[in-house]
Amino acid sequence: MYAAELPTLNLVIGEALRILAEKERSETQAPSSLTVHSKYSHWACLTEGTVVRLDRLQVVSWAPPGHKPPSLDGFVVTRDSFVRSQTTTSTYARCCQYKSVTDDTKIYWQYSRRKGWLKPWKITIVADDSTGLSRDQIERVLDHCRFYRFLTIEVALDFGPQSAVNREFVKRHAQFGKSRRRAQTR
Amino acid sequence: MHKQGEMRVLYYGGRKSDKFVRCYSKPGLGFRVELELHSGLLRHHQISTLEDLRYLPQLIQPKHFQFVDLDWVKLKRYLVHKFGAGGHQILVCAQSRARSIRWVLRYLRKNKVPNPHRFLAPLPMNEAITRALSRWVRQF
Repeated sequence: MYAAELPTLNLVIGEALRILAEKERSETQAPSSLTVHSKYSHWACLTEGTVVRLDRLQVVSWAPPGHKPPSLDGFVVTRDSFVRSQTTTSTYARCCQYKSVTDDTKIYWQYSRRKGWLKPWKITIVADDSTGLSRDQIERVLDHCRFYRFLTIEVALDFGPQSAVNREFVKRHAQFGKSRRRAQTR
Repeated sequence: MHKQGEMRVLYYGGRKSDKFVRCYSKPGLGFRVELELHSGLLRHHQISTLEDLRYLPQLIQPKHFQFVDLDWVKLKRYLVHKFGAGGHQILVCAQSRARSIRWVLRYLRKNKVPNPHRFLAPLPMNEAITRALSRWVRQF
Protein backbone atom coordinates (compact mmCIF):
# COMPACT_ATOMS: atom_id res chain seq x y z
CA MET A 1 0.00 0.00 0.00
CA TYR A 2 2.80 2.37 0.95
CA ALA A 3 4.68 1.52 -2.23
CA ALA A 4 1.61 2.49 -4.27
CA GLU A 5 1.25 5.89 -2.55
CA LEU A 6 4.93 6.82 -2.75
CA PRO A 7 4.93 8.28 -6.32
CA THR A 8 1.92 10.50 -5.45
CA LEU A 9 3.65 11.75 -2.28
CA ASN A 10 6.82 12.49 -4.25
CA LEU A 11 4.79 14.53 -6.73
CA VAL A 12 3.16 16.58 -3.97
CA ILE A 13 6.51 17.30 -2.28
CA GLY A 14 8.06 18.20 -5.63
CA GLU A 15 5.24 20.65 -6.39
CA ALA A 16 5.52 22.23 -2.93
CA LEU A 17 9.28 22.68 -3.35
CA ARG A 18 8.78 24.25 -6.78
CA ILE A 19 6.26 26.78 -5.37
CA LEU A 20 8.63 27.66 -2.53
CA ALA A 21 11.54 28.13 -4.93
CA GLU A 22 9.42 30.39 -7.17
CA LYS A 23 8.36 32.49 -4.19
CA GLU A 24 11.97 32.81 -3.06
CA ARG A 25 13.05 33.81 -6.58
CA SER A 26 10.35 36.50 -6.85
CA GLU A 27 11.44 37.98 -3.52
CA THR A 28 15.07 38.01 -4.65
CA GLN A 29 14.19 39.65 -7.97
CA ALA A 30 12.50 42.59 -6.19
CA PRO A 31 15.24 43.84 -3.86
CA SER A 32 13.98 44.81 -0.47
CA SER A 33 15.78 48.16 -0.61
CA LEU A 34 13.66 49.03 -3.63
CA THR A 35 10.54 48.22 -1.64
CA VAL A 36 11.64 50.65 1.03
CA HIS A 37 12.58 53.25 -1.57
CA SER A 38 9.30 53.10 -3.44
CA LYS A 39 7.41 53.47 -0.17
CA TYR A 40 9.10 56.80 0.52
CA SER A 41 9.71 58.02 -3.01
CA HIS A 42 7.03 60.71 -2.65
CA TRP A 43 8.93 62.19 0.31
CA ALA A 44 12.06 62.64 -1.77
CA CYS A 45 10.47 65.56 -3.58
CA LEU A 46 9.18 66.99 -0.30
CA THR A 47 12.72 67.45 1.00
CA GLU A 48 13.74 69.44 -2.08
CA GLY A 49 13.36 72.69 -0.16
CA THR A 50 16.07 71.69 2.31
CA VAL A 51 18.42 74.56 3.10
CA VAL A 52 21.82 74.20 4.72
CA ARG A 53 23.23 77.05 6.75
CA LEU A 54 26.35 77.58 8.78
CA ASP A 55 24.80 78.54 12.08
CA ARG A 56 27.64 79.05 14.51
CA LEU A 57 31.39 79.00 14.48
CA GLN A 58 33.76 79.02 17.40
CA VAL A 59 37.51 79.54 17.04
CA VAL A 60 40.43 80.07 19.36
CA SER A 61 43.36 82.09 18.21
CA TRP A 62 46.78 83.30 19.18
CA ALA A 63 47.15 87.06 19.68
CA PRO A 64 50.03 89.31 20.72
CA PRO A 65 50.03 89.89 24.49
CA GLY A 66 47.66 92.59 25.61
CA HIS A 67 45.97 92.98 22.20
CA LYS A 68 42.37 94.16 22.32
CA PRO A 69 39.72 92.91 19.88
CA PRO A 70 39.91 94.89 16.63
CA SER A 71 37.16 96.91 15.00
CA LEU A 72 35.42 94.96 12.23
CA ASP A 73 33.97 96.24 8.98
CA GLY A 74 30.20 95.93 8.91
CA PHE A 75 29.96 95.34 12.64
CA VAL A 76 29.45 97.67 15.57
CA VAL A 77 30.57 97.02 19.13
CA THR A 78 27.48 96.79 21.28
CA ARG A 79 29.16 95.87 24.53
CA ASP A 80 32.63 95.35 25.95
CA SER A 81 32.44 94.23 29.53
CA PHE A 82 33.96 92.26 32.37
CA VAL A 83 32.65 88.70 32.65
CA ARG A 84 32.37 87.13 36.05
CA SER A 85 33.67 83.59 36.40
CA GLN A 86 30.88 81.18 35.40
CA THR A 87 32.34 78.08 37.10
CA THR A 88 35.10 77.33 39.61
CA THR A 89 37.64 77.71 36.79
CA SER A 90 37.82 81.27 35.55
CA THR A 91 38.57 81.56 31.81
CA TYR A 92 38.28 84.92 30.06
CA ALA A 93 37.84 88.13 31.97
CA ARG A 94 36.33 90.24 29.21
CA CYS A 95 33.98 89.83 26.29
CA CYS A 96 33.48 92.22 23.42
CA GLN A 97 30.17 91.88 21.60
CA TYR A 98 29.64 92.93 17.99
CA LYS A 99 26.48 93.14 15.94
CA SER A 100 26.21 93.27 12.19
CA VAL A 101 24.80 96.45 10.67
CA THR A 102 23.03 94.51 7.91
CA ASP A 103 21.56 91.44 9.64
CA ASP A 104 21.33 89.78 13.03
CA THR A 105 24.81 88.21 13.05
CA LYS A 106 26.56 88.53 16.40
CA ILE A 107 30.16 88.04 17.44
CA TYR A 108 31.35 87.37 20.98
CA TRP A 109 35.07 88.06 21.26
CA GLN A 110 36.46 86.77 24.56
CA TYR A 111 39.86 88.07 25.60
CA SER A 112 42.04 88.79 28.63
CA ARG A 113 42.57 85.17 29.56
CA ARG A 114 42.74 84.14 33.22
CA LYS A 115 44.73 80.93 32.67
CA GLY A 116 48.03 80.56 30.84
CA TRP A 117 46.94 77.40 29.04
CA LEU A 118 44.07 79.20 27.32
CA LYS A 119 44.50 80.75 23.88
CA PRO A 120 44.49 84.55 24.04
CA TRP A 121 41.26 84.90 22.04
CA LYS A 122 38.10 82.83 21.86
CA ILE A 123 35.66 84.01 19.24
CA THR A 124 32.08 82.87 18.72
CA ILE A 125 30.24 83.93 15.58
CA VAL A 126 26.47 83.39 15.72
CA ALA A 127 24.63 83.66 12.42
CA ASP A 128 21.38 85.33 11.59
CA ASP A 129 18.75 82.56 11.64
CA SER A 130 17.45 83.28 8.17
CA THR A 131 20.73 83.81 6.30
CA GLY A 132 23.44 81.77 8.02
CA LEU A 133 27.09 82.76 8.08
CA SER A 134 28.72 83.90 4.88
CA ARG A 135 32.34 83.35 3.96
CA ASP A 136 32.86 87.10 3.90
CA GLN A 137 31.69 87.49 7.50
CA ILE A 138 34.02 84.74 8.70
CA GLU A 139 36.97 86.11 6.75
CA ARG A 140 36.50 89.52 8.34
CA VAL A 141 37.08 87.89 11.71
CA LEU A 142 39.80 85.44 10.72
CA ASP A 143 41.83 88.20 9.04
CA HIS A 144 42.77 89.31 12.54
CA CYS A 145 43.60 85.83 13.81
CA ARG A 146 46.90 84.01 13.54
CA PHE A 147 47.23 80.28 14.23
CA TYR A 148 43.51 79.90 14.72
CA ARG A 149 41.77 76.59 15.36
CA PHE A 150 38.11 75.67 15.00
CA LEU A 151 36.46 74.64 18.24
CA THR A 152 32.92 74.20 17.00
CA ILE A 153 31.20 74.26 13.65
CA GLU A 154 27.45 74.17 13.74
CA VAL A 155 25.62 73.26 10.56
CA ALA A 156 21.85 73.70 10.42
CA LEU A 157 19.65 71.79 7.99
CA ASP A 158 16.26 73.42 7.62
CA PHE A 159 13.50 71.24 6.24
CA GLY A 160 10.71 73.43 4.93
CA PRO A 161 7.23 73.51 6.55
CA GLN A 162 5.79 71.40 3.68
CA SER A 163 8.43 68.69 4.04
CA ALA A 164 7.71 65.35 5.69
CA VAL A 165 10.38 65.92 8.31
CA ASN A 166 9.18 66.62 11.82
CA ARG A 167 9.93 65.42 15.33
CA GLU A 168 8.22 62.03 14.87
CA PHE A 169 9.93 61.48 11.54
CA VAL A 170 13.36 62.17 13.05
CA LYS A 171 12.68 59.74 15.89
CA ARG A 172 11.56 57.13 13.43
CA HIS A 173 14.19 57.49 10.73
CA ALA A 174 17.17 59.66 11.68
CA GLN A 175 20.55 58.19 12.42
CA PHE A 176 23.41 60.34 13.68
CA GLY A 177 26.29 57.90 13.54
CA LYS A 178 26.84 56.28 16.89
CA SER A 179 25.25 59.14 18.82
CA ARG A 180 22.22 58.12 20.77
CA ARG A 181 19.20 60.13 21.67
CA ARG A 182 19.43 61.67 25.08
CA ALA A 183 16.59 60.95 27.43
CA GLN A 184 14.56 63.96 28.55
CA THR A 185 15.91 64.22 32.06
CA ARG A 186 13.85 67.09 33.37
CA MET B 1 9.40 74.64 35.46
CA HIS B 2 9.96 73.83 31.78
CA LYS B 3 10.55 76.64 29.39
CA GLN B 4 7.93 76.74 26.66
CA GLY B 5 8.79 74.22 23.92
CA GLU B 6 11.86 72.90 25.70
CA MET B 7 10.48 69.38 25.83
CA ARG B 8 10.01 69.36 22.08
CA VAL B 9 13.76 69.40 21.34
CA LEU B 10 15.43 66.12 20.50
CA TYR B 11 19.06 65.79 21.53
CA TYR B 12 21.57 63.30 20.21
CA GLY B 13 25.16 62.92 21.40
CA GLY B 14 26.59 65.09 24.14
CA ARG B 15 28.14 68.46 24.80
CA LYS B 16 31.45 66.83 25.61
CA SER B 17 31.43 64.28 22.81
CA ASP B 18 32.55 64.82 19.21
CA LYS B 19 29.08 65.70 18.06
CA PHE B 20 25.94 67.18 19.53
CA VAL B 21 22.68 67.30 17.62
CA ARG B 22 19.54 69.30 18.31
CA CYS B 23 16.33 68.79 16.37
CA TYR B 24 13.48 71.20 16.84
CA SER B 25 10.78 73.06 15.06
CA LYS B 26 11.79 76.59 14.12
CA PRO B 27 8.95 79.03 13.51
CA GLY B 28 8.99 80.29 9.94
CA LEU B 29 11.78 77.95 8.83
CA GLY B 30 10.19 74.54 9.35
CA PHE B 31 12.03 71.78 11.15
CA ARG B 32 15.69 72.32 11.96
CA VAL B 33 18.39 69.70 12.52
CA GLU B 34 21.48 71.31 14.02
CA LEU B 35 24.72 69.38 13.94
CA GLU B 36 27.34 70.75 16.29
CA LEU B 37 30.72 69.33 15.30
CA HIS B 38 33.36 69.64 17.97
CA SER B 39 37.10 70.07 17.72
CA GLY B 40 37.92 66.37 18.18
CA LEU B 41 35.93 65.38 15.12
CA LEU B 42 37.18 68.35 13.11
CA ARG B 43 40.79 67.61 14.00
CA HIS B 44 40.33 63.94 13.12
CA HIS B 45 39.07 64.91 9.67
CA GLN B 46 41.72 67.63 9.30
CA ILE B 47 39.27 70.50 9.03
CA SER B 48 41.47 73.33 10.24
CA THR B 49 41.06 76.23 7.81
CA LEU B 50 38.20 78.02 6.12
CA GLU B 51 39.03 76.23 2.85
CA ASP B 52 38.52 72.87 4.54
CA LEU B 53 34.85 73.64 5.19
CA ARG B 54 34.16 72.37 1.68
CA TYR B 55 34.79 68.85 3.01
CA LEU B 56 31.94 69.15 5.51
CA PRO B 57 29.31 67.44 3.29
CA GLN B 58 31.45 64.31 3.00
CA LEU B 59 32.04 64.39 6.74
CA ILE B 60 28.36 64.82 7.64
CA GLN B 61 26.68 62.46 5.21
CA PRO B 62 26.11 59.58 5.40
CA LYS B 63 28.25 58.74 8.42
CA HIS B 64 26.96 61.34 10.85
CA PHE B 65 23.50 62.06 9.51
CA GLN B 66 21.15 60.10 7.32
CA PHE B 67 17.55 58.95 7.18
CA VAL B 68 17.05 55.20 7.19
CA ASP B 69 14.25 52.71 7.49
CA LEU B 70 14.16 49.06 8.41
CA ASP B 71 13.99 46.64 5.55
CA TRP B 72 11.08 44.64 6.96
CA VAL B 73 11.07 42.07 4.16
CA LYS B 74 14.72 41.23 4.72
CA LEU B 75 14.22 41.18 8.48
CA LYS B 76 11.19 38.89 8.20
CA ARG B 77 13.12 36.48 5.99
CA TYR B 78 15.97 36.43 8.50
CA LEU B 79 13.69 35.93 11.53
CA VAL B 80 11.69 33.12 9.92
CA HIS B 81 14.89 31.43 8.84
CA LYS B 82 16.46 31.69 12.30
CA PHE B 83 13.53 31.31 14.70
CA GLY B 84 10.85 29.59 12.59
CA ALA B 85 7.35 30.34 13.88
CA GLY B 86 8.77 32.42 16.76
CA GLY B 87 10.18 34.82 14.19
CA HIS B 88 6.71 36.17 13.37
CA GLN B 89 6.17 37.09 17.01
CA ILE B 90 9.48 38.98 17.13
CA LEU B 91 8.59 40.76 13.89
CA VAL B 92 5.20 41.88 15.20
CA CYS B 93 6.76 43.17 18.43
CA ALA B 94 9.47 44.97 16.46
CA GLN B 95 6.86 46.60 14.22
CA SER B 96 4.96 47.82 17.26
CA ARG B 97 8.13 49.72 18.26
CA ALA B 98 8.62 51.23 14.81
CA ARG B 99 7.93 54.82 15.92
CA SER B 100 11.50 54.98 17.18
CA ILE B 101 14.32 53.37 15.25
CA ARG B 102 16.35 53.15 18.43
CA TRP B 103 13.64 51.11 20.18
CA VAL B 104 13.38 48.66 17.28
CA LEU B 105 17.13 48.09 17.11
CA ARG B 106 17.37 47.67 20.86
CA TYR B 107 14.49 45.18 20.86
CA LEU B 108 16.11 43.16 18.07
CA ARG B 109 19.47 43.13 19.85
CA LYS B 110 17.80 41.87 23.03
CA ASN B 111 16.07 39.13 21.05
CA LYS B 112 19.24 37.59 19.72
CA VAL B 113 19.40 39.42 16.39
CA PRO B 114 23.04 40.53 16.25
CA ASN B 115 24.05 43.65 14.32
CA PRO B 116 20.50 44.72 13.47
CA HIS B 117 21.83 47.79 11.66
CA ARG B 118 22.37 45.52 8.65
CA PHE B 119 18.61 45.64 8.09
CA LEU B 120 18.64 49.42 7.72
CA ALA B 121 18.20 50.87 4.26
CA PRO B 122 18.85 54.55 3.47
CA LEU B 123 15.86 56.54 2.28
CA PRO B 124 15.93 58.28 -1.11
CA MET B 125 15.41 61.64 0.57
CA ASN B 126 19.08 61.52 1.60
CA GLU B 127 19.89 62.52 -1.96
CA ALA B 128 18.03 65.81 -1.45
CA ILE B 129 20.14 66.45 1.65
CA THR B 130 23.33 65.66 -0.27
CA ARG B 131 22.25 68.10 -2.97
CA ALA B 132 21.49 70.77 -0.36
CA LEU B 133 24.92 70.30 1.23
CA SER B 134 26.64 70.49 -2.17
CA ARG B 135 24.67 73.64 -3.00
CA TRP B 136 25.80 75.23 0.27
CA VAL B 137 29.46 74.40 -0.48
CA ARG B 138 29.15 75.90 -3.96
CA GLN B 139 27.63 79.09 -2.62
CA PHE B 140 29.96 79.41 0.35
